[in-house]
Amino acid sequence: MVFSMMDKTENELYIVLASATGIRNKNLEVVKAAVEHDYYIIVVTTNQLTSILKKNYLKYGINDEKIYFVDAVTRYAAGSNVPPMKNCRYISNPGNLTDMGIAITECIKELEGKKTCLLLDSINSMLIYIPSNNITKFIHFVTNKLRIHNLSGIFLMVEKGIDPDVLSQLTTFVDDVIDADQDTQH
Amino acid sequence: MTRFSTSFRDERMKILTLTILAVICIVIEILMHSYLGVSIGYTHFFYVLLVLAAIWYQKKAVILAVILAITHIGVGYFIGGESIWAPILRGAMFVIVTLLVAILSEELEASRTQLITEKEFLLESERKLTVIFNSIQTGIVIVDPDTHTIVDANPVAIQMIGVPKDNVVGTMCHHFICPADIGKCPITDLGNEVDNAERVLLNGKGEAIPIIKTVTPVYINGRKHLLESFMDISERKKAEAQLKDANTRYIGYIKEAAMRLKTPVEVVGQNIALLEEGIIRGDFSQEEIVSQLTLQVKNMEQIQQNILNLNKTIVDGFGEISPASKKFLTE
Repeated sequence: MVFSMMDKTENELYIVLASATGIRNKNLEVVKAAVEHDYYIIVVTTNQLTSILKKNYLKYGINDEKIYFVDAVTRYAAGSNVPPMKNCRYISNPGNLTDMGIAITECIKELEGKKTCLLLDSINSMLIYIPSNNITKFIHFVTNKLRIHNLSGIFLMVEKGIDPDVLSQLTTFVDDVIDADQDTQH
Repeated sequence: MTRFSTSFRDERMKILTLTILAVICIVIEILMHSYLGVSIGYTHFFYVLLVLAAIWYQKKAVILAVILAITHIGVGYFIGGESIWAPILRGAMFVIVTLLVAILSEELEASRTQLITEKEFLLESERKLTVIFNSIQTGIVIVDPDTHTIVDANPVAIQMIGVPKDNVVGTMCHHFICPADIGKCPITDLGNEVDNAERVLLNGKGEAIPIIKTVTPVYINGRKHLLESFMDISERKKAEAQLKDANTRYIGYIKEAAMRLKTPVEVVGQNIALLEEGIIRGDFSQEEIVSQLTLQVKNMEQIQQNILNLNKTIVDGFGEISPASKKFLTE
């Protein structure tokens, strides 16, 4: 399994490519593998509501105690009356990169000294709200932050959903690109 | 000398001269032949008259020769004292020599006329070439291939170089029309051909002007020269760069459109399919179903807005589009 990378390395950053149909399962697999390897995990979701993710994790047998959420879609979909949830920071909308950056920074601070992995799900759903050049800058910001704090990071992306030039730029920010469907490292 | 020649060419002067000489000849004939009884020697003077007449009037002079010959034979016949064949022979010589000189004079005149015609033709050709050289809208520079110095340049070349002609002619061609190093001339040193090739011209300010150039070896005054003709293609290059820039931008828009429309639509489609499955299985509460549907609707609205934004960006960067089409694409 591709997520045996959790065994091999710590504090490394990966782009994980999956098909549009398989990307939701990759979220589950990554989170499961991370939790099993005693990681605290920060899930930055721009595609699925935290409540739905939590349900899926429970269904998949994943203990969500160590899972922190930066949720950019729940308040955007359901409005600002959404009640606060434990270990979850809501962002007003998925295009608000400033708030997303602040929320990620707060989570990292909160989990300082702990073995932590950040999962961003997904770059493609962010592209609905943010131009590619701004996403590139944001990923650069996040990867820098993770490296400074010696944290791991996984960025989910739909295979063939990103222009190769943009992908090659993003590739320079991470340690490796993994094609999850083919279970190969590039 | 010239004035003398000119006056001699004057028609009246010629007739006067010939008349005087003819009178002298007749007087000599009468004096020498009739009174002194000398029939030879003096006739040589007749040739002065006959040769001049033959030169000036060509074959018409033969009439004068015949008259002189008849006169001489007639006088000889009436005076007697020698064989009649002697004056006949001399008279015949008058006619033959006059005829020969007349023929030579005619040929000389024909050659002279031809030379004048050719000279006029050459002068006309030179005038035409000078007009073309000075008015053609192509820069032309003539280079001495041995010294690589500029021998001549037309006004367009001078205008493009932007330096007075006196400062261009005599200068090494490397300074202006070919930035190649000395000893590396593509034509004379490297043996290359330059035919409609894109090159660079350096103007007086040291700016590189893109040109399209052809170099042709030509012979001027019997010496080999290089005729370099060139056209300024700055505008074309600028247009090409703009086109390339526009293409790059449009490809950028297309890529962005593919990333922000194609895959997100797939993702939304997949989310809705999973939502449908979850609803069938009864996985979600009413509230969760509404939130998820709202999210997907908002996603689709944003994708639609992305289409309009991308259209607007493209339309703004593309001048030639009707207001109606602009409105259709951006609203």
